[in-house]
Amino acid sequence: MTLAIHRVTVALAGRTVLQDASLTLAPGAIVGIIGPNGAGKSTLLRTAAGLLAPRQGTVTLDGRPLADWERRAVGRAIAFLPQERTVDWPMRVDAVVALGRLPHRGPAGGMAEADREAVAMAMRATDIAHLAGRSVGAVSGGERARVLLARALAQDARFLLADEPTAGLDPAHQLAFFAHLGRLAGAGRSVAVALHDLGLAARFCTHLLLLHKGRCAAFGPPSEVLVPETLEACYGIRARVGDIDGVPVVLPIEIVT
Amino acid sequence: MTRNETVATEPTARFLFPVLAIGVVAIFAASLAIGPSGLGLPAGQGAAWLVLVEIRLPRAILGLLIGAGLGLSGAVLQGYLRNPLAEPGLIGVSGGASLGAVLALHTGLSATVPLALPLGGLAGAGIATLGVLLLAGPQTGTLTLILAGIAISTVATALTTLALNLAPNPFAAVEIVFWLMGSLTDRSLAHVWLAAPFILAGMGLLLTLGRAVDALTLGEDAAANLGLDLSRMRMIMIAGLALTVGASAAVAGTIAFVGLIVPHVLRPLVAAQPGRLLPASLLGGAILVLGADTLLRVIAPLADVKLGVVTALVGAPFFLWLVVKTRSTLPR
Repeated sequence: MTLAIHRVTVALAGRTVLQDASLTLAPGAIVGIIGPNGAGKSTLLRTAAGLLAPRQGTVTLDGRPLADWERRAVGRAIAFLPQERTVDWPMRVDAVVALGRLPHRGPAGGMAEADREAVAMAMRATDIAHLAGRSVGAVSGGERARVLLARALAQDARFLLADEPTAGLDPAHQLAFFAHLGRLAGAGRSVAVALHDLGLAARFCTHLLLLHKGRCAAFGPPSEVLVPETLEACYGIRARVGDIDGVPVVLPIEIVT
Repeated sequence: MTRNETVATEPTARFLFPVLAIGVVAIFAASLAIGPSGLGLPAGQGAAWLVLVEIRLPRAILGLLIGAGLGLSGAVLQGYLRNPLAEPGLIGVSGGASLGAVLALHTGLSATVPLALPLGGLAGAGIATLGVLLLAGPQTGTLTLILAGIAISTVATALTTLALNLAPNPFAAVEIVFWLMGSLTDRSLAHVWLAAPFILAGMGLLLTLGRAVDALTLGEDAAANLGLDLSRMRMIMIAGLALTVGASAAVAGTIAFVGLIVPHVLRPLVAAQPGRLLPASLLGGAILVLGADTLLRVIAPLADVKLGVVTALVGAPFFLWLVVKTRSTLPR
């Protein structure tokens, strides 16, 4: 029941963007992938989802190479939420969410009761049930982000790989999203989520993987990864790390030159 | 879920397919009943029966198939490219078919060999498809495919113009120009037998792509995560388009705007869902082409205005109206 990336090296357009990176997602884990822009976060997630073939290293799902799995079986096991919030046609919100059921549906026929239930649950979890009949062209950017998130949740996969899912969400919906991740992890699912908000990473992730220039710079519980020295080395910032009433806080102060 | 928000689109969705299907049947019947001979549907055998079976029936069947094929092709290509401006001519097949048919006219082969014209068109479409595949390669990306299509189209158009330029006499030139305009006039049942298998096979392939175009709405990565094999989809699409559009252009010339306009008009009626747009555009395309061809015979029974001219004449202002409408509803 694991999704494991083992020492992968990935090149895009001839340039190595990820080198010797490893990550294992076990049930119950919420792994935050952090690191500066261009560190390789998206590449790591896309590789884990089987969308990029690594030049070296392996990606295995339950011990079997991902490439050996049938495509739709991968779609049932791993839900991937890209950073680009593409919805090219002004489809209805509920129809967009229902796309998440495609890997579950038989070659012919419509949505089964289980499909409808998964869609309704995903829409409740992301607080978009009231938008169901609206066109995605007519909702706000943050609402659209939640619609796409609901699509990935509707996929009802054991592994959720989300690339900056909370960017552009208001604080209430960010908190609601992580609360939902907590419920998923509690139910034995695993999550990998690329993040820029170090405060959210500190509070809600069980583990953090810090990427720097395509390499794993640190991995461990948030309290071990989010230390001033590491943040300075990777992000080039001086930061205060502490807590307010027991809630961990990371506060970037200034750029270190 | 607030009920009044969802009901706005659902009735159209529920009635759309029955209404379109009834429309197709009605226009098909009208196309059989209306013509310059002034005959209605004949009661029994005789000259009127002959007009019906030999002249109107092939024309109506071809209109039905070609319209359906072009509408469907446009919807598939727009869904694949996620661009409402895509039209079936984009991948170079119709250009190749035109060139093949024009060469049959130019060489005089069409006057001596029966069905040389559509056969030439089919050969041209096949060669153009191979050209696109060779140029773009098997693992091609979206942009490469379109560039290859445009390149092949350009070559085909250049060679078509050259054939026109070197026409042996003015009559041949006029014949070529008229053929290029696109028409269903004087097509026989032999044309139907020639084109129908290709068009039907092509439509069969294209209709399997509904879920693929649905998934692609979320971009290529998300679609792949939902189980879509993009390169397999592309091969099915190219084969489907080549068969459908190639065979259509081979028997009827280029019938403009159908593949562009029909998906565009029907998109709001299927709540913009690209997969449902495929069968809708199939029916809508049949209505448009059959309707235009029938209208032609009512308004100008003796003028021999070409079908492709009418679809363009109807299509262009309609398209302009859509542009104006889109401009006013979308944010800049």
